[in-house]
Amino acid sequence: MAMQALSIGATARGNLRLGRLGRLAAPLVLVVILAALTVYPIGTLLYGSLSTRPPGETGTFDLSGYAALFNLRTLGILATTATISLVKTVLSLVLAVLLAWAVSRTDIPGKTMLELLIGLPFFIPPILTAMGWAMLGNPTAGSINQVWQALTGASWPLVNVYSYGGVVWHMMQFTVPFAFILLIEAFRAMDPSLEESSRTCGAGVLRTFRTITLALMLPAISSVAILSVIGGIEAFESPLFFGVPAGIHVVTTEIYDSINNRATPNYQYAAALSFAIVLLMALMVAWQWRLLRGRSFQTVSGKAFAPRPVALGAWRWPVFAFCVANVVVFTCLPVLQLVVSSFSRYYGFYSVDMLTLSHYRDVLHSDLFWRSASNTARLGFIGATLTMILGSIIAYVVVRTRLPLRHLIDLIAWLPWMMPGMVLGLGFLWGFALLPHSIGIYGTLWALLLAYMSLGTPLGVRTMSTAFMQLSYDLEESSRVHGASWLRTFGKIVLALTLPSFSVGWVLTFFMIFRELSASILLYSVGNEVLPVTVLRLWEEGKAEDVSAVAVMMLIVVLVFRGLHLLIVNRWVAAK
Amino acid sequence: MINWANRLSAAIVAIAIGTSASAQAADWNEVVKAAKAEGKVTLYSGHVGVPYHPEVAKMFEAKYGIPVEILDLRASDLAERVRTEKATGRVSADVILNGAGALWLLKNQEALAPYGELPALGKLRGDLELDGTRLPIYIQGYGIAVNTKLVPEKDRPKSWKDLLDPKWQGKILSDDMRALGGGSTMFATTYAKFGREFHEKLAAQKPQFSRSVRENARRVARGEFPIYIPFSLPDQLLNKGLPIVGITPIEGDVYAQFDLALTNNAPHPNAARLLMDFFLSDEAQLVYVRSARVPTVKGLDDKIPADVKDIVKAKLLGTSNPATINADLKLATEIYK
Repeated sequence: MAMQALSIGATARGNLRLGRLGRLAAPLVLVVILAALTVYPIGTLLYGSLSTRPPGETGTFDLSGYAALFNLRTLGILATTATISLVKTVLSLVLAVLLAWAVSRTDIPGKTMLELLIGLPFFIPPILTAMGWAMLGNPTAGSINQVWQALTGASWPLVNVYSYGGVVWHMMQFTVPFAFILLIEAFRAMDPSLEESSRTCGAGVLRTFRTITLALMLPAISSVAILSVIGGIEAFESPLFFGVPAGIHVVTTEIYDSINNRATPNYQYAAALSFAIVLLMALMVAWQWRLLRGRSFQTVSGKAFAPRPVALGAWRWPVFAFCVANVVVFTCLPVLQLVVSSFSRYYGFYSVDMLTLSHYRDVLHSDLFWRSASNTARLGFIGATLTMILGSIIAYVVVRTRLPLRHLIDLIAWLPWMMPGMVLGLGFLWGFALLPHSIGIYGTLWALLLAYMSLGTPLGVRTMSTAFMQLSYDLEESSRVHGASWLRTFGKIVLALTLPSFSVGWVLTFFMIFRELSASILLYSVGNEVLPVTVLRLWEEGKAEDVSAVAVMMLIVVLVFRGLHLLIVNRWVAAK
Repeated sequence: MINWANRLSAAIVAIAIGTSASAQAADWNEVVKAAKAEGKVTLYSGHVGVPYHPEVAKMFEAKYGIPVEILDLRASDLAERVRTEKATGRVSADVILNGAGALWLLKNQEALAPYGELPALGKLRGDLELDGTRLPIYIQGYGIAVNTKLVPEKDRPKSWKDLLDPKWQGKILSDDMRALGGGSTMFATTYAKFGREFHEKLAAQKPQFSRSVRENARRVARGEFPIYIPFSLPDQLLNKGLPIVGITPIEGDVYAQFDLALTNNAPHPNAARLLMDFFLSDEAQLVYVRSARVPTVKGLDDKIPADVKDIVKAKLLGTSNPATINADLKLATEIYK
């Protein structure tokens, strides 16, 4: 059915004619699949925002949840959420664009290693980096402050992560690598001839970067910015760890609080607050569409080019040092802290007699750990594959066909981005609870898989849309003119040219699943635990050192996985 | 893996002895047989991060060959999960271990079933109140934790009321009093004993709330806060060698009674009752005694280790009243905004 959808899509431009029914059937199938993954849980959540009773119970309906939003406190929380998200997006994007450009388009040394290391923090579950930074930047016991005070004799802390700055900083911890990974692919896909023309006409490196590179990158940058702002609004671990202790509340912690830290969970308020966020997100998506309307983004053409790096001259080493500093601060410091803690009897108390391997022993002898690891691996592989296939089909239909309903499909596929994972998880919880008992999804791995697919679809669609947008139609048309079938064209041209983006999307989705906590915490059950849930449980049980041991093992998996992925992609690029 | 013969046997036993707990207890050997046929039992625990009930679970598995799956959740999260499972008709929990107040709420929501006759019931101390649904397992005292490096001995609080000294403003870490758990138990008890004024003054001290109870003690040990309330005094054993000490205030410890309960429509009701009964065995109770908790069965006084005797025998101030638990939570939310 999926292939049929693609086939019909392609024929819109390939001059083959299908009946009206066929042109409608394929997108309809997509709409139905997406509706089950996105509209259904959101619909049940809407139901919840109006219902006076919690999930699974029948109540009356009123608007009290929405009425509770209109007070200074909640409006303040909304403003804080938006401000933090915007600030971290701007700061992260400035860093990420510079880093991605330096690594992909300049002649600095060690680019392969830098690419691996700069992108690495994104793959580490935020709860682990949050722990790392809590141990580093704690005003009284943090390693940075201890070193600072020992060196200078100062009695005041150098950094305090329990602050607005701490929340923004930890969000940047995964936003910078996230943006970097997406942007570096876009930089690579960009035709450098325009930059070269600019340089030939006498423009300097900076002017070319500003007027040509950034302009060409606008679609990718704006997409990443939107994702980043949304991600900032949805972020949970950063405000939970660093905001709440400082009295800083954002939407996610408010939702979490109203469900978990009240005598009686206030689901109605939580759901209503979520819908306020949906509205905010909808406005942002509309703004993005308006921003990108009418522009042409075809920067990958049939014209052969060999990417020549920009010679930085005297700036080569300073730019390299800037990249290395980024790696040290964002990657080495928290990772080193986690490694040290994993070998310490109690973190924060470092001495030779406190060294131990017992945390690794505890973790490796834990049935719960192995069960969680197995569940996470299975869900990661299957979930990422299915999500990317679905995302590719949707992106193709939306970007490269004129099929009916394609705008509706695009809109529905975006819906999960408008819901924090925790709230979408709640919607699914409610949705699965409403299903007949014979459909036994509740409390199984299927529940998690469907939630992950829903959460991952926007990322899959966006990654593939960017790739498809930058792909010139000439290539497909040339192939078709030379007699290749649509399927052959799709395989040899479309798929082949977008495979790096597909693989990047797959890896991002895999690790989204690898670290997803907020939906999982509502949908898991005994026997179906996943690693982030187990990590949170260990953390709540005060076993921070065990969590550090798990973190180190997860980090090794991340390193191996990401290294292999880069190796495959680089070989593939070299082979072309 | 349960084979079909076992399943059939379990079904026959279940039909033969009926579904009510009292009927199942007619012949305890039949219960044991049915429990083994059920093959496993799931325990939800609201007492997170302690190694003791996993230890008891291992002992139970060694004795009966029935594995125990444990899910640790904070008291209020556990209550919400049980409610959702009940509301959706998909119950996973067989037995719940939680504070008496939290279980009282679940009982009122008809999430629990009577445990019926258990062979070990006769061992329970006579001073415990029994309602046929909540089975008392141990009692735990709460006091004040202090960082020994930050607070010299002469400056340490000796009374609950010493916490109101202005020098502690902004320096007290506390379990959240607005949700079920140690914090709410402390709130209800001290509110009843010292009145609203005590808590209005304590709120003015701007205590920092956190619900990671095990981690909180570590935060005090690391010097992030000099004081943590309410500190589960037995947790001193989990923090040996760290600069933290637990203090029993002169008025006495706040205490919480931890109970077990059988869930309504438990998937493994016989294994659940067998496990509940096992928790009252001397071997299981001694696990808690060694961890500085007060046992609920008779005859273990002379087996309390010397190093935990002070904690086990400490003066008690009181505990929360389950009947007013919702009102207390509301009050706490009102005072600690």
